[in-house]
Amino acid sequence: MTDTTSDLDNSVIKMQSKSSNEEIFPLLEVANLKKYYPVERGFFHRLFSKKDEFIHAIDDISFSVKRGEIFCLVGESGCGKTTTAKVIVGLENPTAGQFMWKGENISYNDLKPKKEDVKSQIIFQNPYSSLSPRMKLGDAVLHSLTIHDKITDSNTKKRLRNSIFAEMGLFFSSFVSFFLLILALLTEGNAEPTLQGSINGLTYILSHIPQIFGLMLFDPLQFLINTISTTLTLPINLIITFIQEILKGVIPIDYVGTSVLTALVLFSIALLIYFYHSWFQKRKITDPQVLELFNEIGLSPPIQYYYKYPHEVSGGERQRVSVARAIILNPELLIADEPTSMLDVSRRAGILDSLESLQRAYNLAILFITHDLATARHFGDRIGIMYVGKLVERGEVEEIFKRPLHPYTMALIEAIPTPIPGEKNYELPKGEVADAINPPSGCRFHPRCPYADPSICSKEEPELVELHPNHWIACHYPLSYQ
Amino acid sequence: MIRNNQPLLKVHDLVVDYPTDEGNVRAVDHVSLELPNGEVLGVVGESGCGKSTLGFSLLRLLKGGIIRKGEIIFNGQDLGKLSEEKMQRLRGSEISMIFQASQNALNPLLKVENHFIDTLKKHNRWSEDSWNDVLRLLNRLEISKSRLADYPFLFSGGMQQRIVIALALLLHPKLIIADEPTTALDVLVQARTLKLFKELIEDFNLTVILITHDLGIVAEITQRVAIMYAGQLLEVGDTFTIFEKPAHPYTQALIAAIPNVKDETKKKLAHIPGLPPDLRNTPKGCRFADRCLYAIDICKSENPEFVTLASKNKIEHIVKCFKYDDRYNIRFR
Repeated sequence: MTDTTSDLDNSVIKMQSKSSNEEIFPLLEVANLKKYYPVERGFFHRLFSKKDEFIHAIDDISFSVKRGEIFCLVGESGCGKTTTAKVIVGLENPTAGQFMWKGENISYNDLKPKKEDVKSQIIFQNPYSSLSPRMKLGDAVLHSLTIHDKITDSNTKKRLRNSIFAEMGLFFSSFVSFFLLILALLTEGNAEPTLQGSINGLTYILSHIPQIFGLMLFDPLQFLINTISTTLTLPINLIITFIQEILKGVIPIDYVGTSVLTALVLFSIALLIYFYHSWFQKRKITDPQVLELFNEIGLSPPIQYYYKYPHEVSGGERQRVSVARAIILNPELLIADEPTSMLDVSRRAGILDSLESLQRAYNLAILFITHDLATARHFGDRIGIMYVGKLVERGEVEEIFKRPLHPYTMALIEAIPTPIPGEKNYELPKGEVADAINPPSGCRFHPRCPYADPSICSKEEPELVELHPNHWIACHYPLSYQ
Repeated sequence: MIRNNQPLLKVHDLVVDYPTDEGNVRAVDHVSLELPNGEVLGVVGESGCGKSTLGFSLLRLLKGGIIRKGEIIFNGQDLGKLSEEKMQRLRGSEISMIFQASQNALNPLLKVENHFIDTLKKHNRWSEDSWNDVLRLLNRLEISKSRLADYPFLFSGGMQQRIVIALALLLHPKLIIADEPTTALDVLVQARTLKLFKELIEDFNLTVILITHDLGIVAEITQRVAIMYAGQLLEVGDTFTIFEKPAHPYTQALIAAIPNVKDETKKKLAHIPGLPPDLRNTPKGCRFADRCLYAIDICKSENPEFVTLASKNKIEHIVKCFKYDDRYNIRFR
């Protein structure tokens, strides 16, 4: 245990000494980001109304994430926080917006993770759907290394290449056996091909092509079974003669017989190679890098977790694997989209702990998306509160929680059921989250705001201003600063 | 608060099994509970601890589950011995349930008003007066009369949940089982719904079993809490006592694991290592022993019994842990 902590400290020192004048600029700056989704309407609606409608998922927000800090984006569902995450990690194209990476202007396309250049990675909300059920946990992590061509271990490389060859071989030989089978069926029982036989065979094959082809592509094993059963449906006397010919030792045997036999032999050899690789070789593909990370993230013994499938482990452990999958590419920015909301209470704290230690070890910047203010307060350094596509308040976590200035922030804080029994007196805002297609004029919170002044709040849109040092707020009547 | 000597609900030694191909899953394992009239009881536990099964078994709505043993005595009658016909009449009118996913609890093909009309007609309560009652109830839950002819999908999640609450309260049942009533809702909507629900509980003097994993909600509206783990109750007591002086190591760990938004010290959250036991093959001894920080040899070999602790008020505080059992006099680390 002491070894790992000293390792962590060393890496922190290394990171700090490496950074030079780049330190002045934040890691990522987002300015005036917008994302509108067009609303799909029916034909008649489009015919009669000329106005195109948009969902204003993100409407002009600006924020920055500094190196090695945890920036929380908090808001109710539908406020655009997840869309922001998706834009930054390159899963959605923004409608408008500028991006600065370490002080340099970059285009949106530069922000997307490339094969060689990975700026950011994401952890998704639901660990039950973000991991492939057919991939072992280790393979899932290794897969992202493969995609980005970042495998350093030569052994792993070699084994991976072999297994790819095995799969290609299987594919190729199923092709060959398929065409040989077609040839065999074309002649259907005749030692010498005749016209009638060919036509019969062709009709038969044409009617089966989609099935055979589809099977071969997606399920080689089923294809093999089908091949055998098709062979069995050939005229019985043909098979008998075929066996007789073999027994007699006459070469060449029946034309059909040879083709089918060759196809079968080829295919079974390919299958053998494939199974050899998938059972004996593929099992051995363990990348030391992945194992090390598994250990670091609390999946120990790592070798056991490496060969497990997602359904064999709990939700918390799945989420750890997702974290490992993101971290292994060494991103500078990690985006965590509600990583704990699907987990049980007793396991949330564990995930947050490991995220925090990783963040310190790799000097990661984390964009933490959550609807849970309590988690944000515990975990974050800075926080941005979103409401219907707008950033309404932004600043240091402690500052915002001690002195919330926006009525919406105040309401959010008061609304959380606290684990302390007792009464509450704060007046909760009425109604529901505003419609993002036709957002309210002026301040978007004014229909629900207990302090709204109809003369200004419904007409003028408040701008995000720095009311106090490092405390930005968009409100005409901010709560008093105590 | 009116309290008769006779509890409204008495669950005695209840055992519920789900027979599966891979073995018998014992979701509720010898659970005994008493619920006096007018009390709000929170049943708290992690997912898969059997808290929802406990709720469903009270209504005999178990899907694929069997009540192996035990009695459920509600208002003097044993629910286990009632005929299905009588039970059907009892559901909704005597005991009703607020389901977890309100979106699925409403029929998408029926207008909202028809949900109410159908329920009233089914129970032969349909009259002009009862309809006025419905309107009054919906008004209290902030659902306007003009929207009753709409289909459920036109309502927001919070409104749907409030409609489901109205449906559950419609026939003035004596007992309400609320299974995670606000889990799927946003913070502000959840707070508002809880506030309305709490007001209704006070005004109608409802008896409620609130099943949830959220200790925050429990702290807000319940008077008594039962902590459930792997099919068993581990601790039952008054809400204030449970939050101030949790006795069972599991309760302590659970409370230490939730972040508090009002907490200014950035103290480290504690997480509980390990996983709950497999309910098909539960270990000998205390269920929590494998994850417990204080576990000693006896915890893994013998099953602890409930011990009554001293409490400030009349509500009994019981805990199932050797730590508090005088007979053993064990010193824990």
